[in-house]
Amino acid sequence: MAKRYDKKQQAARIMREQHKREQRRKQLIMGGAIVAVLVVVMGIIGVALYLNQTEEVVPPKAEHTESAIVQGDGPVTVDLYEDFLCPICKNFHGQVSQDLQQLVDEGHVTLRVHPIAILDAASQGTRYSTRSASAAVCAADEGQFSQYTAELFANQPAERTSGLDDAELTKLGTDLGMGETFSSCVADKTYRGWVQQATDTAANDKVTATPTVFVNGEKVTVPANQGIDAVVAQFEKDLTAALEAAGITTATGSNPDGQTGQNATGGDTTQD
Amino acid sequence: MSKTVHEVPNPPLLDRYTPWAGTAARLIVGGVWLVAGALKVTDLRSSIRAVQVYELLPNSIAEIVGIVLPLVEVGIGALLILGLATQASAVVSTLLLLAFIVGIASAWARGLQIDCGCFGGGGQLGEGESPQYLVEILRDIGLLALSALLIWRPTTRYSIDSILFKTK
Repeated sequence: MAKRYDKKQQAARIMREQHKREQRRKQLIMGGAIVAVLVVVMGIIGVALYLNQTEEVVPPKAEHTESAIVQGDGPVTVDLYEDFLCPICKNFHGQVSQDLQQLVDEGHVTLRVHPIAILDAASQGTRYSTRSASAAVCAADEGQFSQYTAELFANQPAERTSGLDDAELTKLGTDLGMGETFSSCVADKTYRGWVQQATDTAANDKVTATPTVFVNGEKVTVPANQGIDAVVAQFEKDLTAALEAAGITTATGSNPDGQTGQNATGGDTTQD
Repeated sequence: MSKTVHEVPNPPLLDRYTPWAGTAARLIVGGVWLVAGALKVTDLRSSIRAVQVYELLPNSIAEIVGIVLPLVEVGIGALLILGLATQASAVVSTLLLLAFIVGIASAWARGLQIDCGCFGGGGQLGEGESPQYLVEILRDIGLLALSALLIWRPTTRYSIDSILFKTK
């Protein structure tokens, strides 16, 4: 009698286990289907959100390439990628901009500044990089690009702060004597889409860090873990070589030395 | 007779407590995914940039990952918190975490100066900021362990699964 009872129990147990296994299998298949559907749906939502976050691209009135504002028409081309929130860009700009501007003014260099926005995530959601860069493009329309970028660097906010607001960005321009066209250009967020496109173009050109500088299309590179002063030195070397190759001998050969020496102390404080 | 008593399902001690541990794991891992994804969906361009700076994927693929990943994170987080499709969600969670650990380790090995971009942000680090690779990897390993627990024992308390599929 006891044996029969055991057998009954055993059969029940086997059935229970079978049922359990069946349920587990069902759960796994259903679960997989739910997750697969979720990934597809979320992907579609993502693309829709992304397109919604994409702004209209208005080409600048100032001379430009797909991602840069162009100054001068000299034989040697310098491409400079900057994000106005990037502290190293400020340092780099401070060390080279004067000489570069002079070379542009003398007709030796075509300077293409790419105002890209790679640090948008570091301004507490205000997208300072995009806002400041598009304001700089507004200034370019007024012929004041280099003056305005100098002001942006002089007033550079710290990373992970909200940065200057649009009114303050406008004031930097009106202080330079720019008028209503500039103010409304900033207020209308006119070039935000263009700046985003410039940033995408830069990424396609493998530039995802700033400052990045090219001389005649050749990227200025230094060994890893060297500071910005090494980049400045290498840049000046590359630039001088390119100028010489183009048959230009300038006084700037001696000028940068004094410049670098002076700025090296300033550079030290921002190193690491 | 006493033998038959033992054959009545009487889960061992471990099995009695793992469903509760599983619930905790679900809420922790799900909560982290939900927050990590939600912080990124409002700025998908930055999310793309955060993927690009790893320099591991071609741009077109980095773009897709940057757009889809935050949304998938939100979705997986929601599923885990609800306890719906727990095992499948935990598999996705595990695979993503493995990918992140590989990505961060490779950035570390190559000496890149980047933020992992795990919770929004991301991109190149400024001067004076040093990467937090070890902390990031350890955190991901912790989440990985919890996800693995959920693959191993997907039946948890207070889950939609336990209502839909009575596996008790």
